[in-house]
Amino acid sequence: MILTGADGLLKYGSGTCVKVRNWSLNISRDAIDVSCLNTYDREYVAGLRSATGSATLYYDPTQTTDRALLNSIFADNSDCGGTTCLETVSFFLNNCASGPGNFEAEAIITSVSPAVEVGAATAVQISFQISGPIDGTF
Amino acid sequence: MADFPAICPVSRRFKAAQFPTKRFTSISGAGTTRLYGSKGFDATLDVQFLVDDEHLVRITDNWDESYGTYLPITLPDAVVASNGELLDAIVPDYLEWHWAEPPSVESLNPGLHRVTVKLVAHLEING
Repeated sequence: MILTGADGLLKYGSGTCVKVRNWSLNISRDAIDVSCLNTYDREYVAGLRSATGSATLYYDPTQTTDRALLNSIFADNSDCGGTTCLETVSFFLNNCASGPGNFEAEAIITSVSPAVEVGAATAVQISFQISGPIDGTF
Repeated sequence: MADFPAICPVSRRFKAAQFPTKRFTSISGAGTTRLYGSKGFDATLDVQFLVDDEHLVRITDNWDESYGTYLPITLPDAVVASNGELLDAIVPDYLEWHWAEPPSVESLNPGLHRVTVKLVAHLEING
């Protein structure tokens, strides 16, 4: 079964899925060069993983979950109990159902970019920096 | 004599042996240099390795087996890889490699370490 955008969702914290136009997740891993002398072909070992994400949300003032996600950019460490403000963000390729194609991670919201345009639904672009492991598989 | 583990380094820096000379300079600025021996000494070799836990232990074991800087060590071909014959040609046979200082370990990732090994080729009195 080929999935489409209709199957994709983004969930913030323990709340309901937020209204998004799109989301993306970029998972990458460092390749550490361990080539030694007397060789002509580079060799690598796997290094640390990292991930970033982005999404475009429709702005709806009545949606508390969506607004909480956007307002987390204003939270200081002191607002988060003295620790880094990490939010649980869940990315769903395959609806909110459990199983493959769903990912959950702790993330810091690193940018929020609202934009208004004539003749278009008001949307806000946001970016995440994932912290720690990503729970889920393709 | 302890055998250094056969690990290929990621970098290597060699400094040739020096000779026992001393420069005597007069008040006028003119001077002379005296030579106190015909043999070179204290060539140095600095090598870096990127190794896993197992190879790190083998390197530190060699430091222990050599009692630090006390006993001479033999360098396998892997350590002098690509420059083995060159190194033999430019290091006098009468010199013996020793550890110059304890190995320095920088841990980069789980199971991956950058180890810096500094060696010196001593001229022994009975050599």
